Amino acid sequence: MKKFIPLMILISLLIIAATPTPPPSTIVPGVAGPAKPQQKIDGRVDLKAKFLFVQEGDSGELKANSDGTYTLKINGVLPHTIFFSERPATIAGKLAMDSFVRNFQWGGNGVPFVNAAISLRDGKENADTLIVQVRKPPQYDAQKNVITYVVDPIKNTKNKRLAYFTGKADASIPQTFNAVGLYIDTSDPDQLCGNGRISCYGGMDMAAVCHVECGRTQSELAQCFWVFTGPGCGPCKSDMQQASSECDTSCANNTSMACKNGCGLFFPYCTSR
Amino acid sequence: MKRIYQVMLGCLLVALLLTANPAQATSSQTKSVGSVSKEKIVFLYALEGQSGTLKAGSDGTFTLTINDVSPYIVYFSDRPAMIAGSTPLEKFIKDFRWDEKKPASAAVVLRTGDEKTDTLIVQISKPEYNAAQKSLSCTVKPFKNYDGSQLKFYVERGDPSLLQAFDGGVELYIE
Repeated sequence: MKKFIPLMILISLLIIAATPTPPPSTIVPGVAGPAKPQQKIDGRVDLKAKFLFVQEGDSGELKANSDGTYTLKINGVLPHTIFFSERPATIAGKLAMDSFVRNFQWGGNGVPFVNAAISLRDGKENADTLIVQVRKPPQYDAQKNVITYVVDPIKNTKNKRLAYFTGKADASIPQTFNAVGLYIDTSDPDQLCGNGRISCYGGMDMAAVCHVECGRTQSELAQCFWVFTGPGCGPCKSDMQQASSECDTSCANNTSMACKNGCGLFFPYCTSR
Repeated sequence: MKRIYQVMLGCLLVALLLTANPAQATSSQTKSVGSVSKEKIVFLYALEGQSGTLKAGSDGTFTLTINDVSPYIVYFSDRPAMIAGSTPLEKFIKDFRWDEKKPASAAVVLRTGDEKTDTLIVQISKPEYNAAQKSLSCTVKPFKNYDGSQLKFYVERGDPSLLQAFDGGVELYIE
């Protein structure tokens, strides 16, 4: 019997270690605002915020192509794309450049092309802003910090978020220039997101103890949407609610200490940052 | 008469300095987009990190520490001039007008977690950025009488409390 005691202690320790840690206590008094207008599930809210995206570079050039389009080359481009939204949700952050370039819906094949504003930081006031349409996905060279676009200058855009630049748009900008910002608009931020997978976690790391993956033994496909708080791509609220409920039910019925009430949602495959 | 003009000019300069928006203090915004610097634009700054802690001090203040903090801070403005950019965090910490007597307002926003404890409105001061450790610590004091406009969205979502330790993403919006 004695020789089993160390083994039992070891198993007990393993179970204790695998038991989910309760959330830390809350301590800080602050401002109690009115009820929140959005219901959040696992950090994500279905808020249809409209975003502008910005890329910044040290210099650039705009050269005419034979087909009437122009090649816009931005040198010394920062490795991220900024996103920010207008009121009421004043949200901002950064997305990794390669991920943004890869996942953004750039238009074509029936989808409208994206409009953008080239804004020169130190340019002359009558030649520092140009509105363009992006004709195909850009080429991003992370090693050289260069991003290259094919663009078509346009006179106007109905995109409200570019209104500020449209209002100060010029007929042309210099062929070469210094510091530049490229403001990219899209009418539908959900275009940024592809499908993802929802699965439950809790017990997976201790499969030998739990023998369960909290209900959903296989992850399930879900359409991802651009959502607030992240911000980024995530499953829509109804999918999350259903999955969350399934996870909770499954875990509540599980007798293993390591799994009980220890389920959460896991959706690592939504394309975003 | 010349003396009067000198006094008037001095007063004008003082008035201009007093009314200048602290958010426009860093050089990176003033040259951000062409002629924008000639207009009055109020920026909000957004800082991102992965995790953090909030520890109580002795005088009603707290030490906020953000780990895995991004080396760039984003600045952005709302309509009519929707402009944005980013600047190295180190430069921002150095150039921003930190005033202990009149601390800047900020919102600490957790990306995940309970919605009842994910947003805190604070006054912020004494920032210290450790680039090697990718961490930012600062003194914050929760407050109730916010009278600005840029943080309205977060004030409406303000909670009476925040987690002591958090993970899964955190944002700090500074007005």
